[in-house]
This record gives sequence, structure tokens and C-alpha cells, in this order.
Amino acid sequence: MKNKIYLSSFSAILEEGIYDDSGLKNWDKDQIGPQDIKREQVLNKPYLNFGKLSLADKLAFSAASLSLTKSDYVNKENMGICLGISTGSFSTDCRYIETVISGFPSPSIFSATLPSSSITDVAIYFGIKGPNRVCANGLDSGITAFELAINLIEFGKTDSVLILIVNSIESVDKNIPLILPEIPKNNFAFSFILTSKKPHISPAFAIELKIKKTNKLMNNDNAELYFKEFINSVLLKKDANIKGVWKTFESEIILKKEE
Amino acid sequence: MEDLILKLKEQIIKTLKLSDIKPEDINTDAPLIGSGLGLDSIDTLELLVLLEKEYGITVPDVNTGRQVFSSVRALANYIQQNTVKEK
Repeated sequence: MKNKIYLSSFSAILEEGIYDDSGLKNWDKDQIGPQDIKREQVLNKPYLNFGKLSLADKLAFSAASLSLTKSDYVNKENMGICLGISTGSFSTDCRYIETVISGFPSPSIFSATLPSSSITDVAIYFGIKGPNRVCANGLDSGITAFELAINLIEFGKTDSVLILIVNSIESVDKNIPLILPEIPKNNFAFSFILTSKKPHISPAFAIELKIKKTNKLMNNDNAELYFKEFINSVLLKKDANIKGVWKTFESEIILKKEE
Repeated sequence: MEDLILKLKEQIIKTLKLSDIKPEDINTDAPLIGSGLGLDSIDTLELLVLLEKEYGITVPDVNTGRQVFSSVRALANYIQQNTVKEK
């Protein structure tokens, strides 16, 4: 790794509540989990389109909003976005087909039948104009998005990247366990902002990612637990080596604090 | 007419899943697209589907569309005129 890469901010929307750098905020009594997230929990001003977003897009937007608010460095002209979305646009595709069957295909749902639609929503609302990448490849998607983000910074394409890692299962996905058996059942979203500039927080965390290819198919690791271990280490302000085993590779994220 | 205007406002909010807005927040005479309510081209397509699905009315061309979506009142007028014609 040529230059150091730092974690500027993070957020997570999980079954137990919303995490940011101040810790965990549990869901309100009228909320079951991530699928019930409200605009006012992630954005402090009205946003007409929030209710329109598909669950995946809403989770990605919410996680992005929380991270961008907390980050001390946001260069919107140059910031990249890397999205790892395990189910791709599967839910939206199912919802669109339902409207086709009803005889009135929905234009707005059709326009979101792209795995990258979450990037569009975030980029347009927050005015982010840097390079973007998307990976929709089951459980590996999150860690691949992480790797793509680090590559963008290392190769000088940008000095900061917003990473979004999303899993969403909507009620329309009755057959998802049959079609995509390795997809986690929980809805969740993680967001990380990586920068090449050391953030003004103490401790700052330098991040390194090691990927080791393997020749045989291995059991998948749990993406949610993997990234949860990451944010727990940051919240506890401790160094960590977070190891994951994916389909065809192993990963290790090394977190090292700098005062 | 006023009942139809209120119903349309409720249908617009429900169909487009607009957040943070109530029927009384929508100005009856303000443009629906761009300035005013701030809807985009995809929203307009969704409203065309609403017109056809709920009222059995189509918008034949772009110029008529510009007129129809110039405000909620214009939309209500268009529905009323075309419903009457069909009767």
C-alpha cells in the first residue's frame, strides 16, 4: 500500500438499531427494524422523495446520510461511491413485474430496476460527483465494494470514497431463499467513508485490506457480522484484524489507531 | 370541484409516496413539475398511469400534458371535462 488510508466516518443500520460514532440508538417502539427507518432519523430536513425509495435504496441513502453528516472531510466534487448490494435489484424487479401483471407498469419502479440505483439517489441528493462502482454478487458484494474503494484511492482516482454495503429483503421476495440461497435474511446497511487525508478525530484509524485468493470454493462468511466486528472495534477504539472467508478468497481488514 | 382537488392531492401523495407533505401543503395553483411541487419526469409518467388507472383518461400529446400538469386545478379540470365528455 503506497499511502495510508483512513476511516473518516461510519454508520450502520441493523436489526438492533442505528450505529454511528456515538454508538447504538435502538429503534423506536413503533419500529421493528431497518425496514421501518424514518427520514427524521437520518436527515434533519424534509426530503420529498424519501418515501419513494425502494428498501435497498432507502437503507443505502440513510447510511450515506449519517456518514456524510459525521465525516470531517467531504469533497463532493471528487468523492467516489462504491456500492456492494448482495441482492442487486431483485426486490425492485419483483415489484415491477407485479405492476406489469396488474396491467399498469410503474415507470418509477422501472427506473429503479438497476442495482446501481442506490448510487444515483445518493449522488444526486448529496451532489457527489466522483467515480463510482457497484458490485452485486451475493455475500461477497460488501467486501468487494470495500476493495474497489481502496483501489480507487490507491490508484489516485479520488481522495475519498463513500462505501455502501446493503442487504435488503422486501416482503415481495417470497422466493428469494430459493433463487439466492446465500443471501442473509436480515435487512442491513453499512456505510464507511475512507479518505487519503488523516481525519481530525482521535484516535484516527488507518485501514489496510489484504485479499488472498483461494483455489477452492469455501463456505461464505457472514457479511453482517464481519462489518459489525469492524464498527465495534472502532467504537471500542481498539486495533483489530478482521478476517473473513468468502467464496473464492479470504480477506483481512487491519485497523490501526493513530492518536 | 374542491372535493376532486382534495382527492387528487391525496392520490398524488399516495401514488408518488411523497414524504413530509400533506394535502394542505400542496398549492392548488402551483406547477406540479419542476418549481412548485418539484415533481420530475418519472413522477409525471406515474401520474399518467394514475389518470388512466383511476379515471380511464389518457393524455394524447405533449402539449396537452403541459397544460394538464400545470397545476392540481388544471389536472382536476381536465379530469372533469373528459369524464363529462365520456358520459
